[in-house]
Amino acid sequence: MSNDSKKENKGPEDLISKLSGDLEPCEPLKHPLKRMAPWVIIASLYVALVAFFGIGVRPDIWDMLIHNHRFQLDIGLATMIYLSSGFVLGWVNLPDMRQQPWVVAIPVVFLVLFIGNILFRLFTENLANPNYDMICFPHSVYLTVIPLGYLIFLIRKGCPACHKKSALFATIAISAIGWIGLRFTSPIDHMVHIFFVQFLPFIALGILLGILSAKLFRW
Amino acid sequence: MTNNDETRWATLISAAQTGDKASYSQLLAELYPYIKNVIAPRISQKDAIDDIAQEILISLHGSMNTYDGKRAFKPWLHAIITYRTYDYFRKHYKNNTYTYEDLDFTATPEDYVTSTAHIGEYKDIEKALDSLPKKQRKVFEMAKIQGYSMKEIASEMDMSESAVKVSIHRTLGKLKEMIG
Repeated sequence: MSNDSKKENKGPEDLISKLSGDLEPCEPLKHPLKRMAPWVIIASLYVALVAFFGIGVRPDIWDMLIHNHRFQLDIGLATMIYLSSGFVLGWVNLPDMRQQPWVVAIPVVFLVLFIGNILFRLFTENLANPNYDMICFPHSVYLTVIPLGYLIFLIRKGCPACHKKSALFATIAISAIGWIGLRFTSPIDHMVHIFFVQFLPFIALGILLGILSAKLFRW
Repeated sequence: MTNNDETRWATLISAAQTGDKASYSQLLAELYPYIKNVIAPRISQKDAIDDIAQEILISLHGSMNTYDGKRAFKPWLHAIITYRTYDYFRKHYKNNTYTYEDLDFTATPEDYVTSTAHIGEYKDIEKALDSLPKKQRKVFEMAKIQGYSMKEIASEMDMSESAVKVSIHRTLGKLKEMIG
């Protein structure tokens, strides 16, 4: 019911009778895990398809996945962030977060570990001869545009009481899946490249989503 | 609100989710005065309270599918109340529909306080200032004698700017009372 409906009415009694008259049976939303599972599956499939058939995976991907512990740690943490923040959005976009606000701590813990890992490597690895190949920018857009659109659609279907929180966890989820895609496709493992070209653009996305969140997620 | 209300409202909304119009009407009729009571202390304009309460009823109508019958009703309702109330504040302040009362008066006894030509009055004012609490006096002196800005005083005294203005306004009132 729109705000116009309220204006048509003279007082609360009229509004209540109008709302009661408009009532139609509604199915309560499914459990957040069930609600967000399609997004997690579709986003994973989409990124895999774009990485394998669109951009092309890095030539040493199997070697990196099997033997490189740092790569395994990067991908493992990013996967946990992607899954946890994706599912947590199912809670965040309910007005009362299903009265389980603690769920947001799960992706935050993984995010702290991930950022700690990135910063640790930034300060301990050899940073000479950095590579600033900007091809990762358009690739990050290809990898995330569909999952982001679908995620915004899903958030709008809920009724988030905190727009900024929705924008934050949407950014974390999208950044994580986009970053995994970039690590699978870009053969550059230099920390400066990983930090500035693959990581920071997602911070910009987060700021943009945060600014637009009030308009995007209004209900 | 009692536990009975909580249980009854949870039952009514669960019935409403199945399309029971009578239960829904009863629920809204019971919630309306409750919502008004919740938001009334936060809103200074009385006519706005009715508007916001109605907005909340409309929001509740639109988001009814987000209520999970296994969970408590009250936190869900309060989340919507808070969301819509802050939404109202955002719109209200964005549109500048509020009236701003400037407490930083330009007409102050500054000239009298600093001018030696009024030496007797100066002593009276100093005496009156002495009777003020230490913090209030310092705030007043910084603003009206030493010429600090509201921002600087707020920072120095660890207060908000509006609190500084209120303090100065009250001090002026007290001085007026004491000196006449």
